[in-house]
Amino acid sequence: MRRRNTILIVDDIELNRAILSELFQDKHIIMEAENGQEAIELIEAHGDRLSVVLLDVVMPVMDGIEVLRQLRDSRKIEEVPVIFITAENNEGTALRGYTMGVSDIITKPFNPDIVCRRVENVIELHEHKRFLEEKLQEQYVIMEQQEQKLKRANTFVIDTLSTVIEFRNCESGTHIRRIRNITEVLLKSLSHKYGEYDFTQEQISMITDATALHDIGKIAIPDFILLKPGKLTESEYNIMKSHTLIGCEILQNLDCIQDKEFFQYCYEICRHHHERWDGNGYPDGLSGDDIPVWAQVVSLADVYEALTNKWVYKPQYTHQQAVSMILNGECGVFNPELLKCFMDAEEALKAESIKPDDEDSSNFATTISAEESALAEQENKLSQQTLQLLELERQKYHVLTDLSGDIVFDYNVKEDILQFSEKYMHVFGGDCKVKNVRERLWRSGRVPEEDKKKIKKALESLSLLDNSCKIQIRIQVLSGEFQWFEISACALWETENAYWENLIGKLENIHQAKMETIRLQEQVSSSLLTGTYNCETIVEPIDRYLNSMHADSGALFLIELDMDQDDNMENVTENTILQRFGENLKKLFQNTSIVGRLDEDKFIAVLCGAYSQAMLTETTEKICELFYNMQSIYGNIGVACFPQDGPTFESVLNKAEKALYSAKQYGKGQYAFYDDEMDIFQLPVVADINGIVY
Amino acid sequence: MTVLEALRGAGVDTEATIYRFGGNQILLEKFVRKFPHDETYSSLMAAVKVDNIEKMKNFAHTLKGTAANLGFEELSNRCAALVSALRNGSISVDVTEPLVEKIKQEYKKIIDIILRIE
Repeated sequence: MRRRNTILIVDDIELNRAILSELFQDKHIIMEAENGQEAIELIEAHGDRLSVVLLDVVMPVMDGIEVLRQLRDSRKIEEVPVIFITAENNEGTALRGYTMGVSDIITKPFNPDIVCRRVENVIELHEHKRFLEEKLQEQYVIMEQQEQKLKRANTFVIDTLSTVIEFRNCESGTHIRRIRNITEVLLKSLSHKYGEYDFTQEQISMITDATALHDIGKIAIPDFILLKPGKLTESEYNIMKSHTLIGCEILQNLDCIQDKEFFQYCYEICRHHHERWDGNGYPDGLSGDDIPVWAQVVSLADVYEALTNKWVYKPQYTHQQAVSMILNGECGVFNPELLKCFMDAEEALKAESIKPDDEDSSNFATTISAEESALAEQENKLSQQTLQLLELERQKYHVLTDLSGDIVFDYNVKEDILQFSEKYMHVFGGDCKVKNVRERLWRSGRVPEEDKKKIKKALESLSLLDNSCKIQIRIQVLSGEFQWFEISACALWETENAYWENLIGKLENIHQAKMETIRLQEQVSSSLLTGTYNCETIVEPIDRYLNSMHADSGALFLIELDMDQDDNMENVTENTILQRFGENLKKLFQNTSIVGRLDEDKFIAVLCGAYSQAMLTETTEKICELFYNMQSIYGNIGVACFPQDGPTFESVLNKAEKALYSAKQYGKGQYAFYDDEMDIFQLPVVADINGIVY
Repeated sequence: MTVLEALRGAGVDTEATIYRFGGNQILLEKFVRKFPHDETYSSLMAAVKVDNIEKMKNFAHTLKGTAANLGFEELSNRCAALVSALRNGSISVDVTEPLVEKIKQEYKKIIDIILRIE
């Protein structure tokens, strides 16, 4: 505070001025004025230096009273104290002076010492007053600054907390700030437009702060629901809806929100921001004006922000699109008055939506988008190259597949991309180009687990020498049904690597045929087990079965059992044992075979498909093992193969019989494979084979 | 004659007057010497001549103050009387003229003394 050290003496008489000057000049700087006008001018110019004005009343041009009046009007009187020094000794003038704001009245002639003291007193008093005022002003400024700081800190904490929560949703941190800003815009528009919604700036600040906490309840929602990219089931949705109530619970536990009004905003926004104007919202199903206005605003802001921002499961809409979607009621039902304000605020909102994220966001968001775009670019490049390489081939395939009616595929190991021909889309739906195949295939619910194993096994069996495979698996088609397909595939090597780089092949729908085959197989198997078939009648079904399987090779195992002759054994027990053997035999053979009971003690197993001698031996040995494992059973096995041992099933069966007979010559528990020499056998006519002579 | 002697001769309480001047005798002397050149008296007389009541009031008032400051109490009182009368509305010549006369006499007396100061 600058020390004021100047005294202004106003009197038209020089002598008077001189006397007064004399009194104060050793401690003060003296300024003099001859009349009121001069005095006013000097005060205007140097008011901040003056500690006091000693003012005469009776002066020409402008008298003391007028000076006072002017000082009072310009409020300068508050800045500089004025003392009347006057010869006028009447009360009227005195009173007027005091009314006008004069600090003291000194009459002439005066006692110099007393005048000194009184003037100094006035000066000191005024100085004190000014000092205090200044100090007060300083304190006020500091307090305001601190309040601002506190507010900012508060906002920061709330924003940070909310951003942390939002991060868990894998949403960008700017979501919170944007909703705040949009809410602010809408609130301003509301109070502008409608008198009954008149919000003060302070209220608007409070509400926008409260907005930051609107989804705080989501912290209690489990990840699998919160982060699910697809549509939620009904129970999942119910849990999700509870985030409104949970948020309220959390708020109630927070002691720090001491401001009742602020708390109310936080609570109501948290609870009601998913209510709908028509009452179909949650959690309380409030409708119309029952929903607090601020909750309605946040509701709308949330929707608008979601639309104009990019999410994992939806694209980013422009402001125009968002506006029309909201107005068409596609995103919920809102208060029509609120929507009008929404329209009015269009300009402000547009400015918000095109604001770049950098402006007020964390680095996280920008890093993600940079990475994403880099990845996308890389992907593009790779795809381009791959496409270019395969383009020619694909064109060829395209023609062929169109003709064949099958789905052709092309799999590249390095990029893990599976490309199908167009037909794929019609049969299975979805994109013909499948990425991340390895991962997706094993996770896929569209192929049964055991068929996945088949695929794996087939792929592992591929080698340079044996680079093709054929398997039959079930795949779920567009209709939801699982159908049988035959995959024929061939591996290709570009380089000398041990593992193949490309796999091409076709997918043929064999569902009809397969179902037929399975039906027949089951028919035959079940019939055989019940023993309803005999040698004659079995031929035809097996023949049909073999034909349906397109089986051009296979083996036939004819097994004759010898029960330990024990007269004590009942027929029933015998049958049970035989039946058990039949079941074990069935377990030994798998899908591509028929197993059944031919007769009382004869079993037959027909194996289709490729085989090797070693495999046949192994299988036969296994059947023998069954004998050993089961008590009181001995058996003999005769094995014949087709097509080498016979063109038709019937002839093969014949050969197997001969082989069996041969085996029996060597004793119990023997087996034999058919060979030409056995042709010499003339099988005795066995009485229990009905009337057929071989 | 010194100033102080002259002042004493004019009936001035020099101590009090010096005191009024903040102890600054030199300043007092300066103004005493200036007194005869002060225009207030002549302006008053001019106003009396044209019977300008307003101006008479003002100048008489001023002269009253100046005289009082310099310790010329008698002169001051006589001016005060005139001012008082004029303010009360007694502006007729019968009233004012004797008062003016008195002022004149006293004034002259003082001037004579002052003129004798070296």
